[in-house]
Amino acid sequence: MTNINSKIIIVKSSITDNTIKVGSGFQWTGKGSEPQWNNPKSTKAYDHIYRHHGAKKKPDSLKGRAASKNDDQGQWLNDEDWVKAEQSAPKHPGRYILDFQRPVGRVYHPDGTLTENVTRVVIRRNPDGTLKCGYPVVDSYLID
Amino acid sequence: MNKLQKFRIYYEEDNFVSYADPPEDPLKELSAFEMGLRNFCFECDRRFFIEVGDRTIQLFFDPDLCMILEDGLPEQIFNLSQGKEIEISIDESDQVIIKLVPVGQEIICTLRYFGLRCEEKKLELDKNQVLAELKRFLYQVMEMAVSQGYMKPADKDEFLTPVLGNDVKTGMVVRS
Repeated sequence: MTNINSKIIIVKSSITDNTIKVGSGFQWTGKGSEPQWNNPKSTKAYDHIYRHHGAKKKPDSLKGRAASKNDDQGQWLNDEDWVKAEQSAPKHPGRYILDFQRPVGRVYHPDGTLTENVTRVVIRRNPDGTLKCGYPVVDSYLID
Repeated sequence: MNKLQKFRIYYEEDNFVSYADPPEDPLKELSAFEMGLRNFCFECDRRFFIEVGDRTIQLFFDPDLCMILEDGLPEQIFNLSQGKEIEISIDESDQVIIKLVPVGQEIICTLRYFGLRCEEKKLELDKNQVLAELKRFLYQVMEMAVSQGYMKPADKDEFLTPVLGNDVKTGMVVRS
């Protein structure tokens, strides 16, 4: 049985600015209104994640994109998990690998193969705290 | 022997079918300009390439160019022209950070790859050549977005203000 309450571990951090704290729970310093952090459909908070890596994307589109870009394409199993990723990631701008310690995604590879039940994701947090990108990755994915 | 490498950005002319879903803004958070930019990059999606010396980075208008523009490319170009270092971060179609550090009339470019390969490459570039190429590409894609009806000329000009002001003075760009 999957433990949805398993603790999220920060596997790797690459902080670009440790002088500011941003994201949910901290003062909004970006343009316009504060985004709805707890809503996975918030384009302002979660940018291109839903369109390119969301749970509802069809396998053929991800397979096709992996092949055409010659690059792994991760897909989330549950859209709510990128909200959890934002909540758990360090509150500084930067790039992070998080391990949910439970399956949160799958990764389509350029050669047509698929890795199921990946537990890790990479996210990039903008200077205003929003997530520029976020997708599941295999364990061998590194950020430095 | 000239140690300076060439920096080039260009796109393919042909569109192709994108695998992504069309841009949406269900919570109505984005401005007309921001949605216009996303729709432009999605509907006019094509490959574009950043060539640095012997390295070629293959990217796509959707989402890579969209993300680079949203990261504030005009401000970054202005900062580079003022002698400040900048980073162009690619996270989707490739995983690489292009770091440009001006040193006099040259730029030390570091390509730092991450993801499934961690590797770093340093190259020396001509500062004026890099700036001219970045501006040329930026103006070209923004003009395309306006001419195809994805944004108003005034919104484009406002977006380009950080880099446009100086170029209008020097005659490089004619305001629309």
